[in-house]
Amino acid sequence: MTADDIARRFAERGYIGGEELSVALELMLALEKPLLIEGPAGVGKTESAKVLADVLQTRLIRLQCYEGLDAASALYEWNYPKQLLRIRLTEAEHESVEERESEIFSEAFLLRRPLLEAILEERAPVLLIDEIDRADEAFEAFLLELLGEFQVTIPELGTIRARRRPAVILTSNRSRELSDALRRRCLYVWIDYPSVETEIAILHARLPKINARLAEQIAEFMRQLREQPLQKVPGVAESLDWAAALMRLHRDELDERSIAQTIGCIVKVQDDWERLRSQRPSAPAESEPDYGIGSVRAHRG
Amino acid sequence: MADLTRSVLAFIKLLDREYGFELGHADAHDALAAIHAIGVRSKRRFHHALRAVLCSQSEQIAPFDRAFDRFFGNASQGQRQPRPPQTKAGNEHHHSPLGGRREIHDEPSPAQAWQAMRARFSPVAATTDAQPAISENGLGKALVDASRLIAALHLGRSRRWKPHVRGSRLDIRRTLRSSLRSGGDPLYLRTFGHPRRNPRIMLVIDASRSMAEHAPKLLQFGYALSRRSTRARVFVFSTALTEITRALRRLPQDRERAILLSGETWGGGTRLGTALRDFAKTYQSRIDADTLVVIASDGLDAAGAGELREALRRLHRASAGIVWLNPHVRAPGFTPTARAMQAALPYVSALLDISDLRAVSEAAHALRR
Repeated sequence: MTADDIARRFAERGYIGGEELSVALELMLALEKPLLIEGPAGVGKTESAKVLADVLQTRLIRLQCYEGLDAASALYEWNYPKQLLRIRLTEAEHESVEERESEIFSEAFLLRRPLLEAILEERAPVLLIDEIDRADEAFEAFLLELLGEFQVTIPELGTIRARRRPAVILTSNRSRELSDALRRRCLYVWIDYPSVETEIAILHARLPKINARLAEQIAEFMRQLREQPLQKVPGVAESLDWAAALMRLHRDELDERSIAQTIGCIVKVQDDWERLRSQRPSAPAESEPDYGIGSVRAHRG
Repeated sequence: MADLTRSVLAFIKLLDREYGFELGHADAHDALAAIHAIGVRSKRRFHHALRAVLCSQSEQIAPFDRAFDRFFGNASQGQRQPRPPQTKAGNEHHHSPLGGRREIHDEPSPAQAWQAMRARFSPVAATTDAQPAISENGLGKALVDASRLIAALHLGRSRRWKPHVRGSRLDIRRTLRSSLRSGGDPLYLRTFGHPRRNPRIMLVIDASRSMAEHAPKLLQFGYALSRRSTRARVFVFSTALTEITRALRRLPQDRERAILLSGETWGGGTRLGTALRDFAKTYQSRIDADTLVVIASDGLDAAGAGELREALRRLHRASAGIVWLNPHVRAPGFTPTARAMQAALPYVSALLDISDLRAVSEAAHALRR
């Protein structure tokens, strides 16, 4: 699948990404290497994996990382209650210790977690390892074998190789520096906030009924908002939520009232809210309505 | 194709030698495989493909684009990644296998380019040629100070529950697992507890002219911290903020170390407020209750104190504490009258003298939870 095919199929599904992402995804599929996607929150990193799974008509297996995530939650775990039950039930059968062990440490007693699931899948799935920066460094080290060789070692069962190499996408918000070893095993792409033009295209793709002027105003407003020193900079996800909220309220244009009613869709920290209020120009120009962070100049074309 | 292969290998060598990319045979193999997969009909895609394979972090994107333009001609124009202004020292062009033009002669070394760029584009840049170096002299003491700081920084226990030898909550899963050894009888109880927090240290060094005298000592301390802890990060700023942790970690350990900084980071004017605001904004997700922020600056800032106050307020709220190192604290009759220092004081846990780095560990000790 070429980068053009990927971009077209993504666009058909409402995902407007840059050429860099399409090329990186093409390479990921061609070279069978994991792709590490970094970028600020809310720019579509996770969504790209979901759309890719849809494009490839395959299963999306997602591993959401968090501090304290361990191999038992990510890879596999023995079903201890079932093993205990089997020991109790077979106590009278006088099996040897070896026989018992081989029985209770077999695949029937294995609980598959996302990583093992992805390796054992018959049809290559898309494996999304989301927010890898939230996981501990120990877990990152554990991932190396998987991402390098696409195999895992279970002491009781031996080494299991992937039947089909999954398409692996890792995302990171850069809350922690990832190790060089992990980065070296991955292709890399950085997704930034979209340009005004791209954001307008995204709004139209995801909300086909949106008024063209409203879409332009939202995109321009978001561009200005992202230049402010906010604690939580809104991403594309917030733009879409905001646009949907404004459409729901039957607003075809941004004005002070509609912004005040819906600002909670994009500004989610009280300090940021105060900052925007304090920066409101005292005497906005009559021809350009004041949207709180300076007037929006979206009257292009 | 052989020409293209040679060009790509030469480009990788350039990235490795002059831009500090640390690339090996596996990367070269991947780059050639990527080009084979993507083709060379579009120069822009060729650029995207090489970038996806050869870059591994966002900080490498701008240097990569510069190197690509330098080697293959200006193919990365129109990219979204903002790039610093380029110096155009050479004008002898060569045709590349891709049909583009290569500028390979008379290209300034990174040090020359950096100097020229400062002179041309920075209204407040200095003209000093001195590259800051980390000397052996006093390094031992800096390492001791760094170790002492790391040891003194105890920020209590995490709220997370993790397997613990003498924890307070029963871990049923591990208890069951261990009971398999005793025929199903839970003889060995396993527990969860709260692990100790693993503190991070972020050292932010003011690299302006007024601090030039203290730069070697601070860099030495930053180097010592980066040697002693993987959770220490070092930044420098004058008119722009740059992280140098990786550069410090790559320095050889057996001889005099000069650190080459590109951009307007060393010896220029001070934009303290802007730099700390950028720091607080860029690294906001990495600064949390486990993070000690150490700022080394004389607090002399040409701009107003509003930005600085805002940045420090954010850092103060997010971090475990802020320690400020000022070279004038021990001067007779010192009072923090500079506007920046006045703005900073309400948010600073300790204001210390730069010459006494040992005191930083005592300040860290005072933050013990």
